[in-house]
Amino acid sequence: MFSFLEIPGYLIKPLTAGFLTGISCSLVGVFIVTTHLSFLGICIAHSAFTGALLGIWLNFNPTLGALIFSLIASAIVGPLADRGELSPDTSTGIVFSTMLGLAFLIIGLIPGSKSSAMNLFWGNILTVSYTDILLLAIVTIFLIGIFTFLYKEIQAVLCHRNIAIAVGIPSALIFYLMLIATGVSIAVSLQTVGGLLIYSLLLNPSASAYQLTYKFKTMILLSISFGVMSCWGGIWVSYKFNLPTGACIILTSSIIFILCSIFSPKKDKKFKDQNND
Amino acid sequence: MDSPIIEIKDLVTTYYGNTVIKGLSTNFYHNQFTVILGPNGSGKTTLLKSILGLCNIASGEVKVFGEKVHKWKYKIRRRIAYVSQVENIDPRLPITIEESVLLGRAGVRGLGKPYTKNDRELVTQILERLGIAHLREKPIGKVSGGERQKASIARALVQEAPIILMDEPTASLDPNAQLEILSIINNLKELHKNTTIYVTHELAELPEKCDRIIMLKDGNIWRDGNPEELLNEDLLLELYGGSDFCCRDRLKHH
Ligand SMILES: Nc1ncnc2c1ncn2[C@@H]1O[C@H](COP(=O)(O)OP(=O)(O)OP(=O)(O)O)[C@@H](O)[C@H]1O
Ligand SMILES: [Mg+2]
Repeated sequence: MFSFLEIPGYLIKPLTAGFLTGISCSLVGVFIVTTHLSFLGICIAHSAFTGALLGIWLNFNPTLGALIFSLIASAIVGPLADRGELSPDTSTGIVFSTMLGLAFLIIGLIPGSKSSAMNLFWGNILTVSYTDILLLAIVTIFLIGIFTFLYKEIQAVLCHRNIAIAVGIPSALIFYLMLIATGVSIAVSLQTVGGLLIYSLLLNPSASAYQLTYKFKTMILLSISFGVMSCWGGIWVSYKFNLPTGACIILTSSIIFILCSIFSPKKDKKFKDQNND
Repeated sequence: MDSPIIEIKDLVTTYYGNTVIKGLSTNFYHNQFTVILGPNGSGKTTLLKSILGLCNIASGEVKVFGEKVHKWKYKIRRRIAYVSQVENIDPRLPITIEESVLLGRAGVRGLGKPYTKNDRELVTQILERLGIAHLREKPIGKVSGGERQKASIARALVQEAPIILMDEPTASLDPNAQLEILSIINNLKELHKNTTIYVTHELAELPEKCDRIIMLKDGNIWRDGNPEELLNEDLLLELYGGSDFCCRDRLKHH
């Protein structure tokens, strides 16, 4: 398959970007999936998208716009999710739809050709720049740092908010740190992978890993591997068969998810538990 | 007596606008073992949560070691071990029993510091003592409710905190395990002179080290005194407000 000598030069940058995005998105995905905050992740991703559009419209850096908007969304929805008692879905949905409305409004307001706006939907991993890669690298290292340094704290917060609180971990701080990390990694990946692709990279690799293991460390490592596999596999398929790269990456991650669900050891177990409780 | 470890003054706690604790004041002291009794919904859990700073305090205040509690003040909470009444844990969570008990050391260890060998040994000891050492590698969602309850008690015990709050810790345990937990808790008081607050409905199995009983009714203290005064049928009947079936037999042992 992939012998290094066969890779054409112009694929090196996309593959590097895919590697970094695969790691960073699936790392924050572990947080989003285990805390059952998938919708919140999608909401933040969407807000980032709206922020980037605003950047295009008003002529400032779209990544900056994405960053600001995803942080605003985290600041609005975070406190609601942090209460932990009410499901944050309704309020998240309201923020989500508001951002969607804003996005379409801005697309309408952008004068002339809308192609740069449309590119944001799908991103463009094939034309990724060195600056983008540098940003991605910084964020990825930052995330790996957080997960290594705050491993036990993150595990406590994921396990149960009340447990984290009771043992004296700054649970709220960790929770918001993870939300901010989610926003930042979405913002820097947006230009590369696009507003639609980012959902699948956030959710699929970690959801796949969640199906397979009961060990937190294994889940993190599996999730990262699935993220990178999706990106690389997608790029390779799109290069071989001349298909749209974004779509190939999404579908690869979905296929991994389907396979993991089929072979999940947790499948019949879940059914038993429902009977017990 | 010396200065109180926990001070509660005119505490009013609300859930979504609904007042639950209604102007409660009391103090808890070093080396004091308090048992809280009261009917369902009288506010026992809410009182414990208020001490942890987890409830919305509408007015009044709670001070632990002289400091006001608050949701964001986590350093105080390292000195309060807490066994909650229910833990609704997702059975698919990627965490083993041993790791979940180790979390009790997480706060004590401090942010970003890995567990030490000492932490792991402590966990092993307690797991063995509670008879769940063989489950250490099992995912937390894959054990029985009582076994999970033991893990949650173990987590509180390894924290080695000067304050221990326990909300019906033995409610789902078999008789053997109940006795073991009670003996551990009694020992703890002897060894470390903890401030312990223990919520229970098990009138027959009150911890022998208990030196104070608080009876809660409708969000406030209804009676507060030592066990000899308060543990009698008439008071209990009045507290739980039921027909006499509820308390008569259970008190025989005392
Ligand atoms: N999460 C919540 N949301 C809204 N109201 C609540 C909540 N928890 C408790 N309450 C209210 O507070 C009252 C006291 O609840 P609490 O859990 O403190 O009772 P309790 O004394 O611990 O009862 P039990 O013996 O059943 O454990 C309840 O009657 C209920 O109306
Ligand atoms: Mg209760």
